[in-house]
Amino acid sequence: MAERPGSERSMLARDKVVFLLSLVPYLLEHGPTPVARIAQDFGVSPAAVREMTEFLATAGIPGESRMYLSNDLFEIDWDALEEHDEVVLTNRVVLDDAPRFSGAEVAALIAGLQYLGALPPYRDSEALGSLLAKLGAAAPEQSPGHVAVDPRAAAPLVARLADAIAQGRSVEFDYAGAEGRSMRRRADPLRLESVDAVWYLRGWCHLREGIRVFRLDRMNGLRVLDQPVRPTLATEPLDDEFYVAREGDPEVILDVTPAALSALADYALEFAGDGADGRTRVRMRVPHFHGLKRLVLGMAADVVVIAPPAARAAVAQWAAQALADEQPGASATDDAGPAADAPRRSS
Amino acid sequence: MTSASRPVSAERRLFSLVLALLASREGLDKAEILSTVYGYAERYSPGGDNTSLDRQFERDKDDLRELGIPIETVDSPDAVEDNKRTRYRISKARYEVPAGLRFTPAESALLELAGHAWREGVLSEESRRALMKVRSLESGPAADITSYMPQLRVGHPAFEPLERAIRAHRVVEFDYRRPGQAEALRRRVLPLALVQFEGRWHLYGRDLHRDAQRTFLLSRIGGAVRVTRTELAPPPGDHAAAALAGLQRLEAASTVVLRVQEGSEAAFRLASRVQSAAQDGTVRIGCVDEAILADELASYGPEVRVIEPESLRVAVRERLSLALARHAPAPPAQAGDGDG
Repeated sequence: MAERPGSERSMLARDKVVFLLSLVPYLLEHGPTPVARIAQDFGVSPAAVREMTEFLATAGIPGESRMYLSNDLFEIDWDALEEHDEVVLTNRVVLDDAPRFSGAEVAALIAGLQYLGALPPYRDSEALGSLLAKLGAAAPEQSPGHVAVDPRAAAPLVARLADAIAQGRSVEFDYAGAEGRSMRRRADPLRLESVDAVWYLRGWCHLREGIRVFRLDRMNGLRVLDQPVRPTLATEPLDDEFYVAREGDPEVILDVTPAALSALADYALEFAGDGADGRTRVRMRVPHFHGLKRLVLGMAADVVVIAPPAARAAVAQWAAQALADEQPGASATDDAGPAADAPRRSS
Repeated sequence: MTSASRPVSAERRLFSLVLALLASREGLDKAEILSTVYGYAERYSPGGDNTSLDRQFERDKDDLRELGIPIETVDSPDAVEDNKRTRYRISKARYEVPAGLRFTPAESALLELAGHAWREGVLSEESRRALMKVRSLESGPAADITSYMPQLRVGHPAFEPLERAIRAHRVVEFDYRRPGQAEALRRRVLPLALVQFEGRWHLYGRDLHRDAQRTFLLSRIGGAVRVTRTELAPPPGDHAAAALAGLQRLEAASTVVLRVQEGSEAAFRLASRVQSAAQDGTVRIGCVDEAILADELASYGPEVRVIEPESLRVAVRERLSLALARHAPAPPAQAGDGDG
């Protein structure tokens, strides 16, 4: 092996080492366990569990003889594995309890916990405090919480929507469409999601009759209704995407600077060669130009729309109107269009 | 336990090394490790040249230490200088979690959420491994938390080297360009904390040229962060809290006045930040960074008008004018898109 560690392959190897070192105490704690259960608990494939278990059964210590004799090896019940797909440890060496967390692992968990601490259900939670103390004790050295998130990051509506989800009740709210009009919407709330400081509600939209994502900072006048959510709500398939391009969504071509590229990282960008002035040319799909014009004006120095002409016109018109507008109460609904169904987080 | 010809995968070699070092009370020296431990022994040449195997062992040691496995070295008292006689071992007491450590179902649920909070990058890998270790420390199935999915993005390539440098107490250097400055300036900083404020990551650290604590926006760091070999002891204190408090003070102290179109998207998006609303319909909001606020306000187009300060009003107009010029009806042609 000539290359330095740090390649993807060696990261994978690290995961496997930690898996093996954790699997033994896990089996001691749980006793005989189906492969499928282990796979689910550790977030790995059943095939990987079988492969690692088979290796475990040959592994051990050199021992007095320095020959890896059978007394110095782990042993599993092969019949249980082959016939019942179950892992049963029948002999073990050396390992008793889980390895300590590394400084980096504790730092990652503490930063995540600190972020959760800002959310209404966990704010001041006893579990949070006790966890931080336990993690501190389980780390090899005392790790400071050097990564933190502004505790006010949770939107004010999070607590009320969390209650509605817990009680299984529908909600109603005014929702601002990107085109500048707001509309009363009703939804059966399923899950609260966030990316950094931006919060979303994923739920069944009564208007669109499907699962949709709503930005919390576009909601106003939230009311939790007495009506229960639809009974089939829990079985609706959920994906983790915020915007899935639909048939007919327009495609735009942009020239962007490297700085803007990382800001657009969440869009499914397709690279289309070199743009003008050292920029990169990219193609992406957008639900509508209302969101696009806001995106572009928010990064005026870094993004230029190349095509189609209608998208360029939408940006130019929005900018011209803002520059000309001495009466900010004037209508902004210059270009009407369908309401946003699943608005992009930046739209 | 295997034929010598088949190469042993890295995880099998590393796992076997951990077991061997844990099992040995007085430690193993390098020759013993290379000649007996599975994964090395197959490639060991007695009396021959084992240089590449030796290097492999050094890399493996580093890898394991990064996973939190405490490999100790014990120098032979009569031959401190002779590293061939150095013995290696892993103390069980320092390897294992403290005796009796277990997580309650409520704690497990929180750890699960926290572990998945990192959407990408090295912190999400570290979390993944930490959650594997957690699995054997649970006193029951985790409580149900499927109604939440809070996630954080790292979002900037400077994040990971800075995070590592903070833990290693290393001084870093990077190019930093403030808005309005034509050229980036090289900064030399002892990094202390990374904090996310209003969705943006900031580095808080000691600026060694200015000899004072400073806050930097990661998005203004250009090029690669250089992690130097210089190690400095960080000053005591909760730096993340200090950084967040500083940004909050700044937001409260420096405010701008806007007129916002009622019911517009801008009104919705700005609502949570409004500090006060005047009778004439204008609102006052905090401003941590004028250039960033100007970007945001420009995106609202005609929905927002800046009343004061004048500098912000001008900054927004500059952005709008630039965008208007670059998106003028004349086709951009192949030559370019204007004067940039």
